[in-house]
Amino acid sequence: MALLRRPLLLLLLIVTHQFLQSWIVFGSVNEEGQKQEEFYEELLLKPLPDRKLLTHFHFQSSAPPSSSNGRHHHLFPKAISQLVHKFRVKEMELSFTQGRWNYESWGGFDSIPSSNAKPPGVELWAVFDVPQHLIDALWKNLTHTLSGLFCASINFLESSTAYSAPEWSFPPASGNLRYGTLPREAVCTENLTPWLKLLPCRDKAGISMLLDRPSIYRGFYHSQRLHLTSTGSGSEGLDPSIILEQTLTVVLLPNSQRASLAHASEKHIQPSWSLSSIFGKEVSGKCVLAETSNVYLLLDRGLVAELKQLRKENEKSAEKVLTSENNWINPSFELSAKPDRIFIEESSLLSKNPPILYKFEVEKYSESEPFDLGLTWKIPVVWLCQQAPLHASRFLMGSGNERGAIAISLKSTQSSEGFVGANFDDERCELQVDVFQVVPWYVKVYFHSLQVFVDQQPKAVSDIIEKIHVSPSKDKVSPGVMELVLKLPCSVSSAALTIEFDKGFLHIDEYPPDANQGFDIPSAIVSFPNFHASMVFLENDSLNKSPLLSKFQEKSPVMSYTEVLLVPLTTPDFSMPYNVITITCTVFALYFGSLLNALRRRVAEEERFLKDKAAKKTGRLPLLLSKLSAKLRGRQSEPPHSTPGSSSLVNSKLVFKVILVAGLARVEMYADQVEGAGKRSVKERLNVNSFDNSIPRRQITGKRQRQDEKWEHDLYQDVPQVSNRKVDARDLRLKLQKKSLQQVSQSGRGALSGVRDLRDKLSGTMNPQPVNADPPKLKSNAAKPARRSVAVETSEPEPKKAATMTERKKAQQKADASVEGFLQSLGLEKYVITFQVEEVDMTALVHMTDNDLKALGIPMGPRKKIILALESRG
Amino acid sequence: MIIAFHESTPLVDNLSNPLRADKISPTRANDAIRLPTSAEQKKVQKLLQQWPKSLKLTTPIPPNCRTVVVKQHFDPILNPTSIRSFPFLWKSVDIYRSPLPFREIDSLSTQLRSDNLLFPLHFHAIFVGFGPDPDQLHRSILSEITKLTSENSKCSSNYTLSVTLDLGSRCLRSPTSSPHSSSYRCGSITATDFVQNDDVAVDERLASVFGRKTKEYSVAVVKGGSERAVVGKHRHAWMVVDDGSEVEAAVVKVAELLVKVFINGGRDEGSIRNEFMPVGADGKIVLSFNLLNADPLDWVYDWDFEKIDDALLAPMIEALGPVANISVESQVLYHTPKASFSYWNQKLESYVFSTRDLPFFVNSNEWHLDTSIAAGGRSKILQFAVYVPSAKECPLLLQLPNGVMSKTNGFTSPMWGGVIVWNPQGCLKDSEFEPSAKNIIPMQDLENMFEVFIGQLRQLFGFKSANVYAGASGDWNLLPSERGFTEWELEVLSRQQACFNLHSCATTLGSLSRLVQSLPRMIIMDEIGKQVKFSLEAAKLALSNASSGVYESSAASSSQARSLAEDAFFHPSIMSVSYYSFEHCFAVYSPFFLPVSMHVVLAALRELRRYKQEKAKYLVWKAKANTPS
Repeated sequence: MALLRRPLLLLLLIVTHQFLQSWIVFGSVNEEGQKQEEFYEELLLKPLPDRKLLTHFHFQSSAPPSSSNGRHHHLFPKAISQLVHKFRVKEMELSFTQGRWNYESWGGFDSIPSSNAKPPGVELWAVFDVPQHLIDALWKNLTHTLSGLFCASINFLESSTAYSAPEWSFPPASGNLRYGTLPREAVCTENLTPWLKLLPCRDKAGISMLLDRPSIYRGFYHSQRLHLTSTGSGSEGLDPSIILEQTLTVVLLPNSQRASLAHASEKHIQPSWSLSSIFGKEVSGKCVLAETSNVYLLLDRGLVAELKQLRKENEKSAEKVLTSENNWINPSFELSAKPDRIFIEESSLLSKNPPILYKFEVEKYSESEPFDLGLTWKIPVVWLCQQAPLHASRFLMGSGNERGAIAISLKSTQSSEGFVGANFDDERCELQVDVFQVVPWYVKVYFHSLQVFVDQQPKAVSDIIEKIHVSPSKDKVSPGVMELVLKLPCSVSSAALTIEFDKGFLHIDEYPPDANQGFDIPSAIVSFPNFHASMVFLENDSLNKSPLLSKFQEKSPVMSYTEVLLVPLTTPDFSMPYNVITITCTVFALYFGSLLNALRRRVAEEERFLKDKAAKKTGRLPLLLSKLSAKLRGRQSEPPHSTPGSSSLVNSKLVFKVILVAGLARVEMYADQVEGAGKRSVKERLNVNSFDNSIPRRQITGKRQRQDEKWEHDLYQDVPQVSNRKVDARDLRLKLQKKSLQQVSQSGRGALSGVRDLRDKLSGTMNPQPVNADPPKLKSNAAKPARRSVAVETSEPEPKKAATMTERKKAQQKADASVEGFLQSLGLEKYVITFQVEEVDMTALVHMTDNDLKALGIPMGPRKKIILALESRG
Repeated sequence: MIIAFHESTPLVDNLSNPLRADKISPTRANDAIRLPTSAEQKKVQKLLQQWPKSLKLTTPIPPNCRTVVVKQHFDPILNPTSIRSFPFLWKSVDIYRSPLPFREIDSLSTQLRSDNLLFPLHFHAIFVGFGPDPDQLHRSILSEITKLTSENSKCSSNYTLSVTLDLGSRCLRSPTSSPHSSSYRCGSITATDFVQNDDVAVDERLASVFGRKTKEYSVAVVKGGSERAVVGKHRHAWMVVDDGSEVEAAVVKVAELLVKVFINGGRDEGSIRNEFMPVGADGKIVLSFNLLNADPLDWVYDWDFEKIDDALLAPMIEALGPVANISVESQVLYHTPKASFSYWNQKLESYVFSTRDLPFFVNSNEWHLDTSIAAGGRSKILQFAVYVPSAKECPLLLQLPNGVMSKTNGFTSPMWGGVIVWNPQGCLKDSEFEPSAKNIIPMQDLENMFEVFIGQLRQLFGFKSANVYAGASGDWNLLPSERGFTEWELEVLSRQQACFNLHSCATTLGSLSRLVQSLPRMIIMDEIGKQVKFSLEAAKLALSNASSGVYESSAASSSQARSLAEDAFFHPSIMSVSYYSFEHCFAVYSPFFLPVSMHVVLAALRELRRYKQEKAKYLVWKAKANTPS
């Protein structure tokens, strides 16, 4: 009998099971056998440790697979459906963010930060369901459409320099992915309004009524996100079903008026808040089109632990109270509304303090009785949010407009439970970290210069980096992409990656209007694939599943974004092209003018003319004047006495060369004189010796170097190296000092001798020496330009004074030089300047006593040496 | 900017002409002629050696030459190398301009402007049971037609008329009979066909007689029976007259039918609406249907749009295929109140919205009737909205200017679309009605609504929504087609579309050519050239099709021509006109040419002064020389 009954039972079971199955299948389908479009609205509130409040709006619309997707819609936004249909988007996420998610105090491990903390500006990625070669074209059209849809400059992502194709480090890893960011995009209501337009109730009813623009944009962080997935491309000509998820994450600081009113002891109490106090509005019932409309309040692990701890101190039976039905009025805080349900996180039941979630159903409230959730703290609470295993930050190193380095530093957050999910091998515990970094093409990264430091010790790259994928940037074509998989030991306390780069030059029309602000390097993405943020809150009714809670349940890898870096690039003077044109044209015009002058001139005729004139007037003044005018006119001193057959002068090349050399010589001479004079005068004014003088210079040159060193000190803390560098620096200083001394000592002599040489070569109007030395030679030398000889003849009376002057100068110079030589022979050349300042020449030096030298500030040793040497000379 | 300076190429000439030196200046004549010293000779030779190798001395320096005159030649403009480099320079600053067929564009627009686009039309009038002279009838109908046609329209038709007198057993035809009309077999229409009251059946009977393939418009005038005049769904009309009526009255009525209905589509001539077709530049129309729930808190209505789309809209879209490529979209929007207020009318027990306020009915702030992403950039989007009023203003009626309530409860806005107010059942009878439940609009209501929408679309295309054409000489009943548009209406549309497109294409191309010619420094891509070429070709094809009477293909190729012309005109590369203003040119070149010109002017002045001096001297010398002798 029992045998007979068993199969019957089995049959019954099978039948009922099948029936049940079919019943369940048809349960979600309406009478017409077609699934409907659905909409959900939810709001999550979570107190943050730093007196702030996280509000997370979550709206979800879904369109079932249908043949009319993209054409006929009832709840789902038509525009989005058409977008998916037209661009064959498989998955897409667009986020507008202002402010930076504070990973340290707002946590980095939960589902909320790992999927909703976004880099500042606009981030867009999309996966396409098309062959590789079509993706780029679709991406470009998609950016244009989105920029029109959301009133943002997303169309700047169109250019191939602005987006990249990550291979595997970006979480929805797929070959058909395109990723682009616009770090500088400002986010405002213009972007929020079209985003709200996609909701069936917009901000007219339901939870979205809370979206009060001033309070949202006053927040510390707000990120408006749109994520869409299209799944199950239709087999029978049906379009894929689309799920559109719209979230708005805002971190706000509640007005803590009560805290200021209360006495000082209550200052540590977290600020109390209510929906009406933070948003200035209340929820008057749900959006009628929404399937569910819930508000959640989440107390995270740390807070729950803290509350329990506090309770334990007060009374013994603390365990049950927090989770029991009537706990919404408890000694540590008070809720203004009674929660409809309380969830305790399931997956971490093993650990002591699971997060607690209070659920409030908006459906129960109406316009006459609006929903206004408030939380009042009674006792001060201090807790910490759960952190990601490593805290990532990124900074720039180096200075100047030429090169620099990017450093990504990972610091362990020391969280006790942090490494639970890590691979525990027996002896080697490893922590996997994925890094994804995009650099624009004008930041030219040298991938060979990648260095890894673990616990401040440099490590071989191959030891730490398990996998690397690099696609170098192409100038004006594509950005550089670096994807890394790091395997760090679990005990790591800090790690750093550095990579050097050169700064490129942009074309003049590639600069943005505010070029001096600098250029942004988009955030790097650091993800921990072995860590998954998920929270399981079990719901009893599976029919009415909350999309937010099921989102929490998904295992999403822990991700964090680093800061955006601002790289200053060389900004050109935008009027430079015109300046260059003007300068070159001026030079050309000068050249042309002189050539024209030379060509036009009838030399022989003018010579004759001048000769006639000279024959008439032999006065000195007109002669000088004529010479001056000649000089001004043609830069050729045309002497009145010309030897016949001077047609050779017409060779313009030669003329030009001569002019050029003369000009250069004059400029050089002038510069040298100025330089020499300037140095000496400064020294006189300061009345210090050359040691002190060289120090500021060293500082200037060493500035850049020292900034470079700064981070190295941080990473190494390596004392010997630093001292080495100091020695080097001192060497450099010595060198510089010597150099300056030499320059100073030579400046006077060199310049003067230079002048003499040049004068020798040139017309020689000032220095008659060579002429005086051998006039016969000149006469015999017929091939020499006649003008020169003429000049010699004519200027005979004039330069005598000059000659005497120069001779006098020269004598002084000689004496000085001998002092110098004398000191050099003693190896005391560094005191030369002291003697020069006091105008001590050799004759004076001979008469100098020990006291005199002392007064000059020369130390004992050299003093003795000098005196000894003088004695031996004398 | 390339500034090429050429090395001055000195030429040695006149080495063999010792007398040349004397001619240089008169003053020289006084000087004693001097032989060059050996040193000087050496110097000359040395200098000559230094000169560029390319320079060839044609003659050796004679050892006994008296004076050496070296003339330097500097002439960058006339220098052959510089001349050769000029094309290169020109090429480097040249701007790429694809050649556009300006002359053909001009000829197209002049062709369209001067001799009007003529569409050939064949009319066929059949008189059953009338008098015996077809030529007389032919003449009188033609004279009536010429009275009615006006010449001011852009596109006119080139019509031919043939008249047949059906005497039952034999035909009397007018001499100018087209081949189509001669295919009509007399005796196939009898007065008994028109006795029955069912117009549709008569229409089908006539269609079978005339054949659907023929391209001619036929009118049958039948004597005997109750008087009526009907225009069928195809290309024919019939008129039944009393036994005793005169033929003249029938002739006038027939002429009016041919001109006003078959040529002009039963529309008022010269109205602006006729000029503009609500068709996008790319020949596409998107019909966007929106169901607007003013306040979903009161009630939420949904519709089963897919069914209506298949049942009512698809045949119409297919029928309009040659005129425009139509696609349909729909969405349901919520929280969309209208922008203006209505007032309560106690007598009607409803809220009344008067026509005066209609411009403020559409609330563009709250009605997010999006432009469609699926549609291309230049498609025309026609919005059709069903407005479900909220409980506060339900039922809502629209009042015509004459005080009568609108029957359709809707209105159109030209080139934008139409709106219908639909009052849900719930508010009419104060029955218990559970609010905020999701309701579906009943199918019957939906069908009525879409019939109104089709009427509105007809209005947007310029047709009358009424089924009667009221002419000066009597009314014609217009048989409505289940496809929304009858065959002859579609042909009117095709003709109008072709005409409008060709004119618009010609004006677009004309303005493009004017733009291109006015901006000589604008880059013109090859693509634009191609588009212009193809557009012209399509326009020519449309013209030839139109003249041969193939309206549908003419409309299709004309819309192609127009869209190509628009593509060329709105090509993105044209937008980025290379900014090369005169000021820029001035800023770049003046730093060079100003100082250079200064030098040149100074040199010229100096030369002039010298010339004057020398001349004065020469004259003095001459006078001196003359006086002693």
